[in-house]
Amino acid sequence: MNYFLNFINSDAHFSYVFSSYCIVFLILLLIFMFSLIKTKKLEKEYTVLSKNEEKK
Amino acid sequence: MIFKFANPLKFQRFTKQIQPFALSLSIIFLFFGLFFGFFRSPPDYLQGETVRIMYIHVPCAWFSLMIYSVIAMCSIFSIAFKHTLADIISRSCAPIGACFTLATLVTGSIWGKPTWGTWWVWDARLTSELILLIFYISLIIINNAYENKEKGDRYAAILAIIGIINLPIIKWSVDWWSTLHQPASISKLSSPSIDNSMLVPLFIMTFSLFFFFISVLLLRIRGEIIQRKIDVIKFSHVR
Repeated sequence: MNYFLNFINSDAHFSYVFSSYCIVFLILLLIFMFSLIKTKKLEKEYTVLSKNEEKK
Repeated sequence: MIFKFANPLKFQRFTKQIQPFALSLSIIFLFFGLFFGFFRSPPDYLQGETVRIMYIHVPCAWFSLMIYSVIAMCSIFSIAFKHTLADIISRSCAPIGACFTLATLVTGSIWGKPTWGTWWVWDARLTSELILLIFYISLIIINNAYENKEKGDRYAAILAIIGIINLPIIKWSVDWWSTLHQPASISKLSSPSIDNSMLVPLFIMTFSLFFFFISVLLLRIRGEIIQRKIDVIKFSHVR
């Protein structure tokens, strides 16, 4: 716990470390969300297309 | 086993089952990694608290290289055997690799400011990592530039194979040239030069990012296989 408290109180260093983690998590969250949304959209499109094919 | 999953449809079913499991493991490892990185690991005697950037910067750097190696291997496999799954994996890996490389450059730059006194220097390690990002972006552009996916895959595979030259340059640049960037602390040939209290969070974060990579890769592969199925249906309508 002491390590964490010292880290929180380390003024300038805290901002460098905190911003690094935030930027990485943001980049990784964006790639995950983008991939998830794209895949879900394609799955929906494929379901509609394959249903139309079956009707024919 | 490998040939069983070489069929894209079987592989698609496999990815759907494994992807949530990989994501869960990634989150669990992330929780432990952050705990050990911030609560159990001491500051460095020289760099102070900024050493904690290492737990996110180094795994990102490792994965930026590893993902490019995967793309390069798939590209060789694709050119040699013209296997669709190799193209699909290669195409799915490129954006993830680009994200890890961007994360490496950004965190490295932030770490460089308090350590070296500058955000950026044109030294061998940083410049070769930037070239890696340019290769990733070029691969994404080429993959999406052609309406004929086979053509795009082929040109991207050629570029990926050319880019292999950059990997040993990134890895050994710190040994070959005099750079601001520190040499590798973890080597296969010798014992690590960092303490276990720092090594543990580093490896836990590496596992977390590994499972994250697997999770996003499986998601993107599923999307790519569905995209190709849609293209087949649309193409049969045009004919």
